[in-house]
Amino acid sequence: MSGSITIQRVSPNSTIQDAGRPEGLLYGLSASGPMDRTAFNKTAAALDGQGSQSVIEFSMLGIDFVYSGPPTECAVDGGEFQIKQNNDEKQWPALLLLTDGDKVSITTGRAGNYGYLRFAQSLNIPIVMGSKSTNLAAGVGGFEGRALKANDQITFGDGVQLRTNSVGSQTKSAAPSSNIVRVLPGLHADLLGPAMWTRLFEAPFKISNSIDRMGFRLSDPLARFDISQHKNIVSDAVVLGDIQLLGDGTPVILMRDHQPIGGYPRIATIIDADLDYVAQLRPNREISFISTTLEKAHKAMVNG
Amino acid sequence: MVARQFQENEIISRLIPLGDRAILVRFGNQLTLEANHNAQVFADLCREKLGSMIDGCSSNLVSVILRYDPFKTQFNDLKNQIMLLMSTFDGDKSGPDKPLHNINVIYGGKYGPCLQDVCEMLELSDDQFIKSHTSKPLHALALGFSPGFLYLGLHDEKLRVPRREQVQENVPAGSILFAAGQTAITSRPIRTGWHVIGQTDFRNFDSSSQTPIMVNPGELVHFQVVENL
Repeated sequence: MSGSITIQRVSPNSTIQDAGRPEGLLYGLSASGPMDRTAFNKTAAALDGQGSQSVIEFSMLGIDFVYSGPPTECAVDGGEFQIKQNNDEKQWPALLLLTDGDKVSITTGRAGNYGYLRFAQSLNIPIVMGSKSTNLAAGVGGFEGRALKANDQITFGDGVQLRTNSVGSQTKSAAPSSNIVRVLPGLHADLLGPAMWTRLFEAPFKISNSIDRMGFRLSDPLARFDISQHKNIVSDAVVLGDIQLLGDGTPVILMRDHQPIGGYPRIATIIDADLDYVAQLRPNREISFISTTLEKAHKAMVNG
Repeated sequence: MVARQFQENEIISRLIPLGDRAILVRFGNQLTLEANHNAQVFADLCREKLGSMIDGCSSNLVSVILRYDPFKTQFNDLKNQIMLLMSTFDGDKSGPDKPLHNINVIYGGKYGPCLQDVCEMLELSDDQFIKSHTSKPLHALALGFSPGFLYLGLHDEKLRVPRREQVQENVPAGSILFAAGQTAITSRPIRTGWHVIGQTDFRNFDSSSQTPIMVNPGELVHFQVVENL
């Protein structure tokens, strides 16, 4: 006999995610996958790698659910949320033993945009093109191709082995010691020229209120980028972490559900090791960039 | 297609690290059929020769992106292998004829609300435009932007218009879009700055299928005028 959960309340744009759907990139579909891989992987480690491959990724306001079924475990991590099990406050992150009828309530805490809820049993979610990940922009995968909402019921299958080829699973990402994020030159850095490249570093930006799985818009009080001379570039490949400049110069950091091809210029690309940190930066937090090299970016993947 | 070999200094300038998990090989800064063809053939070559070193490879309008896992593949090793392939690459590929897909389209009216604007810019009547637009098969140039979104082209100079000033929201699946010397087919609702000139019942994406894409880059599409879908 397997269990199930019924969602009572859930933060907007919370989704089912697994390691991602890299083959989707061949079809005009981004790879999706967890916004914060470090936290995603920590929930797997908390269950000794024996838990579900797919998780619930909840956004800033958390999730309330009721568990039904035989005793099981779940691991939660990511950001700093508050968590209660049947009105008992628990430490964050948590490994919970759930019994029939337990109510878990995760609410917003001091920091972070995304948290992860991983059960010992697999989630009964159909595999679409090799993955259970939800791509909200495309309406593909996950729970009926959409964000989770109250009254959704998710049933469990068996306990399964974690697959080892999870996206960036070997990434040992340590949060940068300050809010300075490392970047490499983007595809159009040469085209935009050295003056614009320098301006990227001259003062901090702020994370705007417009953040989601496709991208984080930055606010730039200096309005420092004028791209009016660069509106007819050929559409080309977009990668995770690209900082693209919209027509009015607004910078957007492209995240897990980014478009695979885009026509806006990309001035820089955030290094892989710093992406999880960026994903957890809340609106109004300052963010600054610093230039690095490819060699250092690869070292940072190993050493943080 | 004009076949030619690239000189070594050109190859270096065309190979661009993209972030710390991908390399882009670019065959031009302008969209031409030659650059597009080279990208498609080179992507096939990379899949065949470098499969064990890369996590995936796909062609864009004028480039090829190769994704790698730095824990498995050293950037310099992959770069050297790509440059080796480039040094003998001539863009030529003799193979079977490319599949030709006939796709039915209703032009104009409520199905193509921007057709009038396009015709005015081009100083053509509706009929003249539709005749030109359906006169010959178009090349499938790339997939991207959204699931199954297909870029087709290139149109002659006399059929080129810029994108719209304003982005349109909720353009439905199956819309025929037109701008920048290209036509595109949407398979999901999107927001776009392209002109919507018609509608088809064809969808180039089926996530439940083993082969989610019906028309792939390199194949041909010939639009057929219909009154009803």
